[in-house]
Amino acid sequence: MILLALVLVALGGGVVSILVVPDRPQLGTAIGLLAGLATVGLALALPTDDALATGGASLTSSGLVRLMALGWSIGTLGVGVLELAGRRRVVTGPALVGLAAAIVAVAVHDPATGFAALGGGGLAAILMPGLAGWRGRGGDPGHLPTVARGTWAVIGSALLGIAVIAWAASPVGPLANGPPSNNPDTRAAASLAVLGIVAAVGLRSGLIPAHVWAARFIEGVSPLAVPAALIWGPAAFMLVALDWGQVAIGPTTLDPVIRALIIAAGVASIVIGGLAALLHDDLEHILGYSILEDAGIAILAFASLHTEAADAARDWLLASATLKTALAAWVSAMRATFGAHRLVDLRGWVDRAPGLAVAIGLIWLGAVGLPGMALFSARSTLIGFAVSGWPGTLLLILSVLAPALVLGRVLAVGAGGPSAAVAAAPSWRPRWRGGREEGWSGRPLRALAGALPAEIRTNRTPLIALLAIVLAVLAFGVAIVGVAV
Amino acid sequence: MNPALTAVALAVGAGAIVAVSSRDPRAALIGLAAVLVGSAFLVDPLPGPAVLGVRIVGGLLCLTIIRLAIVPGSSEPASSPLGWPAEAFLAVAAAVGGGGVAVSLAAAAGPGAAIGGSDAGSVAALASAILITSTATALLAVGATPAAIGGRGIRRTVGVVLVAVAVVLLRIGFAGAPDDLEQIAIAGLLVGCSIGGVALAQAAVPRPAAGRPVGTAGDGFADATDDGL
Repeated sequence: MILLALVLVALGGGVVSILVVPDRPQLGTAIGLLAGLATVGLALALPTDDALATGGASLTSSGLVRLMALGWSIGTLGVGVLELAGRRRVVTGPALVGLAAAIVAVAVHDPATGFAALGGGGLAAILMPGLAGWRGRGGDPGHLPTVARGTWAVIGSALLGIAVIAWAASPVGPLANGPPSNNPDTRAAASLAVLGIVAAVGLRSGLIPAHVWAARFIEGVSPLAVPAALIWGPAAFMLVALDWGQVAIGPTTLDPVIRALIIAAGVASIVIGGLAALLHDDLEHILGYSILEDAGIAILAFASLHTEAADAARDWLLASATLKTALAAWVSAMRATFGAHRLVDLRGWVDRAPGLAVAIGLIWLGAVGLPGMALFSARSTLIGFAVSGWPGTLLLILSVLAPALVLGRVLAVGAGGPSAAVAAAPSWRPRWRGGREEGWSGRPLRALAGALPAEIRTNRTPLIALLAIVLAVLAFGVAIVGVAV
Repeated sequence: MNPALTAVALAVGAGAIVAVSSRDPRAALIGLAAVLVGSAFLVDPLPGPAVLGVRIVGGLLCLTIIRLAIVPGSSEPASSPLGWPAEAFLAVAAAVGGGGVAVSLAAAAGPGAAIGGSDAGSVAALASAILITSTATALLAVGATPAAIGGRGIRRTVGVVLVAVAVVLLRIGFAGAPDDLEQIAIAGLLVGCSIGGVALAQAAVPRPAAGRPVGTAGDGFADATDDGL
């Protein structure tokens, strides 16, 4: 029943928040944040063996569902609180609706239901921040088509997934009589079905060559909108696809050409995503291409569909999603602190924001990984099952080096002399400007409550840094233990 | 062949043709209503009344939302430049093709196998699957063009909804009746398609200049400063 309550609270809170925010932003935001808080509590209380039979299907929880719910809801709460520092309120509601859809999709173990739920539930996370960004920029002609492409990518990927699954299960499909046999024709058809699902995943995740919409989308929205739109949504889509692949196809020998195509898409996303993140000068592109690189590693699981590779993909997806959520929050915190987003304008930022340096340090360590960490093992396993020999080793080195260099560069830039934007930034030190002089000690509670808003405004910078650190610590923890948590 | 199912399939096909070819937006909405409500009945066996109610209410909700996309005085034509006879020919041809595909499926499955999740030995079940697949391909044929190049107005929204309904019908024709939860998820997907299309159509309507500086394309900072984050 906790699973059902989680879905209902997330869906109800998200929808109400979306509907209320345009007219009463403060009330809508409060509803969204309260619902987010409730989903965190429910996710913490969710047992791993909760089951609910409804509508001819069964929703069953697991460690995976619980960790996804926990990571996404804490991330939503974090970015929702960070959004309070801005003017717009477009993050919390859509993220909660997406979370509800994702929980249903992953818990139902029926891919067609899962894809349909993700197609309907994931749209708000693209539309609301995308259109808010477009309107806010006075109608930049380049941004509306990007939002449209994102919308059609979400719908198109769901429809493609549903169509492929229906064809595969039809009498002429490879799965008409259960998992594919050793018959070469059946195996070829099963490989084609896997390629179709990978195409749907690629479209949803913005993998190369379908990356343009995702890259352009990130340019036009607040980074706080990125987790629901491009991190957790695609991760849930990939989890559903993996579930289908394991149950319906199983560890089978794919057609060599199709296997090569899947590996090529993954390797292209890893290499080009890593290079692009390294070459770009602004934090949004660094975030976007890092997400692309992570998705490229995850997609390699479809090249083998081996149980071990699929388990590694689940670890990888959840760990990288929490890390990139923390990175998105960190990017927002940097913007809020320094009012800049290009590395050239952020020289010497470490001295002015040591809290943010701690956060990015944790994210760096989590993203690079150390032997023994779940994320590190997952990456090695995924690449090892897809690409063997020295090319596999080279790819592994590249995939470790890319986040090390990309985030290391951001840290290195922060060590230099301060730029004008950094020098003008507020101090990172907490300050108490409240009414001690006014004698609040005589009536502590009322005075404290009255002084709190002013104190929060005064300490906005350290509070934002603290929130970024909290999300980074959570992400680092997930990177260590993976789904086993 | 089930005459009621045949009548519904014909109504859905006719509704799709009207939806993409009518110059009057109200007629297009009536056509779309036939598609959205009728498609809920294109399944064999029929789902329970509650689920049927969810699909019908979902379809009507889609319609209500799409109605918001009709912009008074919009210069963008909502109708197909080909006209209804051409769209009708296209739909019939696609339906015949889809029927052929479904018959081939049945032949490939062989006696005793299943098509559309039903026992192939039952002629009625086979006929239902053929009918549903034919309707799906007809909808796909008339909906694909407006969905792909229908501009930003109601035409594209109608096209996307038609394609979504077509995929759902293909799924039913190929793999059988969905369970209740999947029907609810399908209703959610269709509502999502409508919301997406309408939101984009409304956003495309030119607005008076807001008086704020326009950010450089590709520069997220303009939006960042707008957000305060």
